[in-house]
Amino acid sequence: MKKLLTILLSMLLLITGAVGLTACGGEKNITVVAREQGSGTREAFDKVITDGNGNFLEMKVDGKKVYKTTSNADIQKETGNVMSKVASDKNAIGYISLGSVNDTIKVVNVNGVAPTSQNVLDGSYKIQRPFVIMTSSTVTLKDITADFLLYLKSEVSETHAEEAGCIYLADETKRANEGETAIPVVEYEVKSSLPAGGKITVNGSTSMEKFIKKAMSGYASLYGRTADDIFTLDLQGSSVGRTAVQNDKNGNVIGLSSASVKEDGINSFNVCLDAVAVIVNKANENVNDLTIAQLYDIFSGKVTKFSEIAG
Amino acid sequence: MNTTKIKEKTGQTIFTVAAVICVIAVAAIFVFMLIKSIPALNKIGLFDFIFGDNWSPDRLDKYENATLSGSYGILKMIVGTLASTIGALLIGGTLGYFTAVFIAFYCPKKLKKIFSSMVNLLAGIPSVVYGFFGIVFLLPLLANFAPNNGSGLLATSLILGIMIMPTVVSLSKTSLEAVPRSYYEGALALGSTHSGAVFGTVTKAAKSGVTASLVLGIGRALGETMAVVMVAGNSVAYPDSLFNSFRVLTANIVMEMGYAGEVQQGALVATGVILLVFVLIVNLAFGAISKKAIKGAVEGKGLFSKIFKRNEKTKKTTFWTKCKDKIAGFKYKIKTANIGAGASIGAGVFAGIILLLVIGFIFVKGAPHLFTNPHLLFGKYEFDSEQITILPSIITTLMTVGLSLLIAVPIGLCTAIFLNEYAKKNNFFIKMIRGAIDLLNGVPSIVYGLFGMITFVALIGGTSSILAGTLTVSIMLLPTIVRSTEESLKAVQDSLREGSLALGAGKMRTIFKIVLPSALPGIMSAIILSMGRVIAESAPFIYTMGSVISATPTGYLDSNATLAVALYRLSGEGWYVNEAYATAVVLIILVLGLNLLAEFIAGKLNKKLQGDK
Repeated sequence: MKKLLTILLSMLLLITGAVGLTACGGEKNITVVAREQGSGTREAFDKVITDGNGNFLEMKVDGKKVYKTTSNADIQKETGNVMSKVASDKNAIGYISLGSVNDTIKVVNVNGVAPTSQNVLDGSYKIQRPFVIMTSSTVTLKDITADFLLYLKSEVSETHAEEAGCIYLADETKRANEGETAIPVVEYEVKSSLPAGGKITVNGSTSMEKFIKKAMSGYASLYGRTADDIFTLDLQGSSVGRTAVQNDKNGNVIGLSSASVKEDGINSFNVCLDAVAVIVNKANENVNDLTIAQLYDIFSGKVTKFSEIAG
Repeated sequence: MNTTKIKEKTGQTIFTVAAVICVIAVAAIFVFMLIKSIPALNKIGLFDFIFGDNWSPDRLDKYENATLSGSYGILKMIVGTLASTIGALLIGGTLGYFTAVFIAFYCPKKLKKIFSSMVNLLAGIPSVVYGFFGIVFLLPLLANFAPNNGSGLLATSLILGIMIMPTVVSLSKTSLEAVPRSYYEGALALGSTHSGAVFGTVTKAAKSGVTASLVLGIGRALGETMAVVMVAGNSVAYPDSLFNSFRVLTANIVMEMGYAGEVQQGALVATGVILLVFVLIVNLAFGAISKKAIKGAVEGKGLFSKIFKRNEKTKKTTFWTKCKDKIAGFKYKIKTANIGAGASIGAGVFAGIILLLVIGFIFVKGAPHLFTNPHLLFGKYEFDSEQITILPSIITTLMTVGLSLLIAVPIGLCTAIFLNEYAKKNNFFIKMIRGAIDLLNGVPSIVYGLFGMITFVALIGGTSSILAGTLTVSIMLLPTIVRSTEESLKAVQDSLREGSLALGAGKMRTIFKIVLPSALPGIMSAIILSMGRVIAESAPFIYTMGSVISATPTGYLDSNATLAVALYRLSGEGWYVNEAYATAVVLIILVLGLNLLAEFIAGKLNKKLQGDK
């Protein structure tokens, strides 16, 4: 009898609990979805977003790194995770590479400017960064690696960039780091057969996945192969890519970085520009345009509700 | 005669070498982690690293730079780890303890077996599946009344609590059942009720065993990675409310390793070292407590003997008056005992509900997709296709399971044989090996991942591969195999060995012809459980084997994602939720199937041993 009673009681508790959960309401706080420190996407975003008074989301104060992103932020490790968080949460806001945008989320204009290729190229859309292709500068590249690099440097990349949604860089000065020798677009000639050298390992930024996959398939199809015959793809982030290139002993590593490369032992060129798109949930009808200052307020946690932003 | 001697010698050498390899593995983990972290700690300063609460890394920081521009303090993560561990202990410890009492004393006989294997099943569910369950079920539920999307300390503690519950249950149950029946009967004879006897006497006698189970639970909660990463929010902050994004030590490593610069990477490895130190403390505590528990059980240091002793000392009251007091105490305690009884039954029911919820929810959502989308399971992998197939992941998983068992089982088996058949009990070297194996057992899986990344991956040429992941997980399997093999070797009666030796068989022959066959079911179930473990793990693989589902691997130097890692990827990428559910179903079926098989074989062993009597 007593056992029965206790069972009933615990059931009752569970049910009231469940009802209580659904009863609450009110406007929710903004869910700020950010990337982890060190991510190329985050770096590109944080270095641009400012309150207009000299404060940036990522800045140096007296030679020390300072990150201002709110500690309430939900930190996600990959682009896909940011998207799924935003897609499933009406009050969420996040940022992802423009190339990864799809119809599960809504892109917001920044300072009234939409992230189109023209706006990125002319610089009116501020939140942008380069996609960089890297090879080792210390070992001789295998024939096949050198050939694929040539392919990437050629104008064929333009179609792949378009397919992947990043903005192709035809300007040879912009293809190199500031102050370094310009890197021109080359002509690519299909060889009579696939060059020797075995498999190419591609390692680096997850943001560049779409672009490099298009390029890999395109290259392989020239020689009647599939991409898997020629490449091993392993994307673990820009810095892993940089390290893999620096440690390359066989000349068969192509690295991808979604931030400018300044490390030693690496030859690099910027293949295209990527905009960082600010995204909100599709059901969020009120938020269509945010200024950089408003983004600073939201991401630094000063503003916690969308209704607090003067519409 | 001479050949036998040579055989004996080589046998012994092989067994010894295996044991030495185990020790080297442990030493290597510590040494490599220290080597990698000392420059970073030097640069940052040990004090600033542990007690600094500003984690603002700069990936451009290098050891040769005069000053660091980043800040590397992990205090917030330490606090986060401690807070979530305490939360998990409050939830999982309480629930686990009462569930153990329920299974031991309140569960109808017929249900008892079902409940025990149910708890074992809960223990076998991969941590990514728990994390996935957290994302698709718990967070949306909590978001209904949370000011945020539900992630934070509460969600983390709940998920961790559920995860450590099986550990607490099975160990507590064992120590509750180890309390001599006479204690319980004595209490009844003195007029206590069933609940009074259970909560007044038996649970008290099993105290150290229960504490040990909680300590083991703490160890598991400290080291858990993937499930926490999926529900904690992971921003670098103190867990100052139930619903506030925060980060634990393990999450720090997983989150940032991929993009880390030189000093940052060192600091992350140092984070792993701090984790190891925590594990060391927990291990020592566990060792001390379980020693006490064993001693207590042997000397009969239960409640009643205490009463006797007290009587002997004070001599003021006779044993019987003391017992009368005790009876009054029992009556007084009946109320508390009844509450305890209610709690146990409630906990038992609740544990059942949780299991049904986790498995049922994922099955209902995922199983239909397995049938409607055959491409997922059997489809050919196409590069750059929107259609997901997990066939390459299944093959990768099988390759990993196969090779890791090939490596770990012989070494583990030989170590166990060495420890049980050759070693002298109190030798310093033996104690060291046992200590090393116990320590390996507690090392968080993400630390194995780190170790694999800085050793195997670097050795193989800088890129991750199935081989690197497999080597990493092989080390991880060693303690499980050694321990359970040793247990089943111990269960083989000495009379069998003596009989064989008396008939003139050599030691090697005795081991291979007599001891091992008798212990086979136990060894088999250890191997099957290891298979389950490889399939369930994800943290050791992400930085050693790769985390992208790619084409079906052609060799061990390719990189690919195992099933569990694939689930982690798919659950993150919002538009493959159905595929993620289906992958979770496949994972659960595999792991639970293996668990049931292991239990079945272990059951056979028990029958056989009883039959031998």
